[in-house]
Amino acid sequence: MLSYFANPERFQNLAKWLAPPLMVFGLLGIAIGFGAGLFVVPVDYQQGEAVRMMYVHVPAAWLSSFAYAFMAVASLISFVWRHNLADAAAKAAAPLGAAFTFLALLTGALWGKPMWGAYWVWDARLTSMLVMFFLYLGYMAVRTIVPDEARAARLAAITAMVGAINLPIIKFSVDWWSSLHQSASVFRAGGSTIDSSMLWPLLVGALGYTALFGWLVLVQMQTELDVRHAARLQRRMAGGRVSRPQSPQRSLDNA
Amino acid sequence: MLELLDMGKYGTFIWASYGASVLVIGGLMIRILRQRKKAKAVLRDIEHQMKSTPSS
Repeated sequence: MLSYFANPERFQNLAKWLAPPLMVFGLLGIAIGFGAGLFVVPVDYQQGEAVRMMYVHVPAAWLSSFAYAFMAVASLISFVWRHNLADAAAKAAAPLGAAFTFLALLTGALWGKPMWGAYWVWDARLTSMLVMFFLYLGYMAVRTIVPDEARAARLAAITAMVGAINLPIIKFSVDWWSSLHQSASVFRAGGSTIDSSMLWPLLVGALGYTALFGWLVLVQMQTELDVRHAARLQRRMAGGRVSRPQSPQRSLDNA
Repeated sequence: MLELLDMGKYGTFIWASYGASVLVIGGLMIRILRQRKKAKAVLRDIEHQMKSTPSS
């Protein structure tokens, strides 16, 4: 199936009909999650109104890890099979993941101040999230700094794959080290410890974030393919009949 | 109405976190749509140029 969608034309067709519903579901999910989080969810017996910040913090935090896993898997596919679309997917996911990690850190700080008494502590969960933020920035830096696109793609893919070791560290940081951050309360053995009246907007919001991420990745991938196609045409115009050695990263574009 | 918007002593933190989220998500959407539009226009221009210059 993977190789079926390796064809950029097939991908463009798929993206065309998949993108609009993803955007609609994404925005709808986020609107419902935010609206319910602000106005419907009951106040927490311990946190009071501050619990409302869960509905912006947790979906951003989940998505930032999901986006990293997505980027790492796409990087692996691009690295091993020289899959051009997978490379475009990883490249598209990086700035999005960075933005959502930034949001998770920022909303976490805003939640931490009234609840813990500090915007920031060098706690395992917070620090490993900050490391992920820098991994995203590192990936983007490699892609910007290395002039040769094929080489940049391979170096960036290695960065993404090596950095994936941080994902289990983020997940289990709250169990491995004593932490101010609470441990898992939704996806845990024995079921969620959050009452359903507070849980459903969180899940709807998280699905919305994920759908919107899917839409953002698809649109950005389409842009990337257009940019690469334009660069190829320009080279052809400038070079005339001179045939240039083609980098493996780009060869699939021609299919 | 105003009562509904009053989040008590945590109001500043709550509204700041929701505001930042809306700004970042909205900003991402605008940025990505702009880039898409630009890339489409550039590609169209190049394809147009290729058609108008006869290849020898």
